[in-house]
Amino acid sequence: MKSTYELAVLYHPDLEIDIDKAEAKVSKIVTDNGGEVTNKESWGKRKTAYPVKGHEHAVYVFYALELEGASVQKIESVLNITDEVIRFLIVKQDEKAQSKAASFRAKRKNPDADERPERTERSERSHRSDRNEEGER
Amino acid sequence: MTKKVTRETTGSIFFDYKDVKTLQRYVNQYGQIEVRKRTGLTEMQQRRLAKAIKRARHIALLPFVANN
Repeated sequence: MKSTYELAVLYHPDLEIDIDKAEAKVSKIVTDNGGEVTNKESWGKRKTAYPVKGHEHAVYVFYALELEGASVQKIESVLNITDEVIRFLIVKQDEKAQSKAASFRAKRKNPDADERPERTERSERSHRSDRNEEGER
Repeated sequence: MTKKVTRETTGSIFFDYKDVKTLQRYVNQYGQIEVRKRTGLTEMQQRRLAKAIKRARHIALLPFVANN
């Protein structure tokens, strides 16, 4: 069964101009191991929080992958010996937590009818705080 | 005495390791993760926060130790 993984890659800072070649290499590693790149997000060159293999900067690229669980280890072992990549991270996307948080945020923006009594209470409170502000002035 | 922060939310929050700005709110000036008493998060949220911060540290988005 395939599932969604996130891959974060820090490329060597000197590759900034010729990043396409390095990116092609990484996506080839993924496809060779039965994976599929579904999305890509580039942050460009960025200062790292601490030196990584002696580099103060790195080119950040994030990928969304469709992977077979068994191929994660294979990809990791290949990325470890790839010179263009100075650091990487593969994590499984927590879709459950993400969607839960998204639905909660949506609920908060336009609350359902059930939550309206709570709202009136809140508006009363804001009245009180209004008065306080006036008093201060 | 550290002041206890009132709970920010009752719902679930998802912490993304790429979202540096949000994660930075939960570390102190030395880069340490703040305790639950100060973050005002639930147990589950704190665990997820810690995981996200540790991931962000691994890809050098956040420092392990900051001294500036």
